[in-house]
Amino acid sequence: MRTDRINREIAAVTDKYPDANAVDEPGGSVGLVIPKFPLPAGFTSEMARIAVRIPALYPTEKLDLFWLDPAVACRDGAQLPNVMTHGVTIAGEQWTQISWHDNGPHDPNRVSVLGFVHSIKQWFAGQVGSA
Amino acid sequence: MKRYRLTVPEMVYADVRQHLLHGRNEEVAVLFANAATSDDVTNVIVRRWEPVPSAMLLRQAPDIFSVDSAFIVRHAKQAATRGESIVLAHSHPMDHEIPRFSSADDCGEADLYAFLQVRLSNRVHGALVMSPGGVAARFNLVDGAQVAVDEIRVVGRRVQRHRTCSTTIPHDEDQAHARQCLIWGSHGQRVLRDTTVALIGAGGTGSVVAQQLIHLGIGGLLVVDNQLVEESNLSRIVGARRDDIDSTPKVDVVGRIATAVDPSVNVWPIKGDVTDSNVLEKLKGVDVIFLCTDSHHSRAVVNAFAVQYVIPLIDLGFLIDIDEQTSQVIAAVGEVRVVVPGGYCLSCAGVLDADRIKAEKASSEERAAHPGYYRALDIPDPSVITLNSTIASLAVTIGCDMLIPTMRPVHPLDSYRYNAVKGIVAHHQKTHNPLCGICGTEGRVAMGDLLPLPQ
Repeated sequence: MRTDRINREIAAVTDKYPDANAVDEPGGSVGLVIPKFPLPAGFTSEMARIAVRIPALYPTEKLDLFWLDPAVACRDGAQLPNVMTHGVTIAGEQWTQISWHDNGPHDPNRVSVLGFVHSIKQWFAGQVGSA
Repeated sequence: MKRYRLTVPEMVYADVRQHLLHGRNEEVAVLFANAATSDDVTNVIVRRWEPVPSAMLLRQAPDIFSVDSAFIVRHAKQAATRGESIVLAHSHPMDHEIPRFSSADDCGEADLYAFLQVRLSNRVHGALVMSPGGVAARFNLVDGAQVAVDEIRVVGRRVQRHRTCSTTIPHDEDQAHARQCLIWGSHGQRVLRDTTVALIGAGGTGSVVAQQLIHLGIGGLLVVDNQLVEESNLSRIVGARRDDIDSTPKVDVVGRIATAVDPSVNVWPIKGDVTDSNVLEKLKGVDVIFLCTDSHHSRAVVNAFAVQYVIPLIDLGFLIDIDEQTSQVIAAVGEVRVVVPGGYCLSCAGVLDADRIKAEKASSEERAAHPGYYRALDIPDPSVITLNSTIASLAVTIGCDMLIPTMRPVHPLDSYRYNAVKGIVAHHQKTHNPLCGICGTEGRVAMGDLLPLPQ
């Protein structure tokens, strides 16, 4: 069971990404997997699996990091930045951890999961100069 | 012996009471609740309610009622999807004593429980009866057994505890408290003696809070701290001695104070971390929590826990800022914050620092990998017993206000700030965000065991 707030925020992501799937994790966090996340030109695929973790104390705790399908790479062969860890398990699957942080001031009254996902979209665009 | 408790947020209780007692006929409401069970207490916490409209009452008179089953079925479906229990509340408007369930109530409830055992199995359901003279309740347990509720607790600006006929508050004949009884009466003293407080952190502020509660004659004190006394603590931990250094847990210092001052105060020392679920589990039955830790992670966990289990929380802390160049004190501000239903919580009030929480939650491997990022956690904050004691006294006074019926109730938006540089104590009102993910309508309020313990 989750709070209504988290269910509402997951529903907002699912509205935008209908294949998104939320999985409760031990400790009260929720793994949210978006299997068909559109990528800008410049990557080896047009879509990628990504995952975010909604921490147990969200929104007091901030959303941080995201996880990416290990198969995704830059088309020009450049290394993906912010890759800290491989082989992380979220929602029962293996991921590459992208150590990216939203460094803006955290306001639990304004933050949203969908907004965080949008920031990830901007991160991808920034990697290939299409922001 | 297992105790049974019904907890109702004050604003819900006020609305239900107004509905049930607004006329000469019996009125009915459905309360939706979540359970909180521990070894010694089964607590059913009301989250929301629905009045039964007259159109859905098949019979309605000053001494009887009957609800259209369609209404119950519809709301049972809602409760099923939300994991909630049902407490059927009705009035005895002509009864001016603490009400008793009638034989008609017995029959009606038997049918209701038979239905709920099928539709909403493995949950504790119940019934509440309210009159102008009082309130009583009983539960239908998971195994079908019926038990009287020992206490109906209304939590908000104050903690109102409605005892049923079978339970009484213990007497306190101790002359040690005679002078304070002149302020709040022997009943107020009995209320304190019947209160169990959780104290999170037994350091600079926590030890003073503990000392005062013990002198006041509190009934029980559950003290959580995972540290030993260090030499640098001797200047500000009340009761700490030189021979405690590096050997005595801080929680045991509190136990020693109680033994010396008032051995009838039950102290349960827990040498552990409140972010550990096994520790948190033990706090489910307490009456009030005093939060006296510097850790933002601990405070975030206890804040969420208090909201989830509708336990009043009094958070206190002191921030002293020193100019590194001039060594002048730039700011020295202590604050006492009250988290109760209807008010703000530490999250929506912006008290908690998300980056600090993240840093405090980091594993030892992560800290070792990025020592620069985590270095700030190891820098001790300035602290002095005089300022800590001021803020601790303010917090305990607010706790007494909340608990003792003759004292001034707190306001749900209250916070109290002691500015030591300016030498003033000022009263502030914070803002509650109704959409707060913790204390808002979509948050953790009264969710009880339905949600995992916060970590």
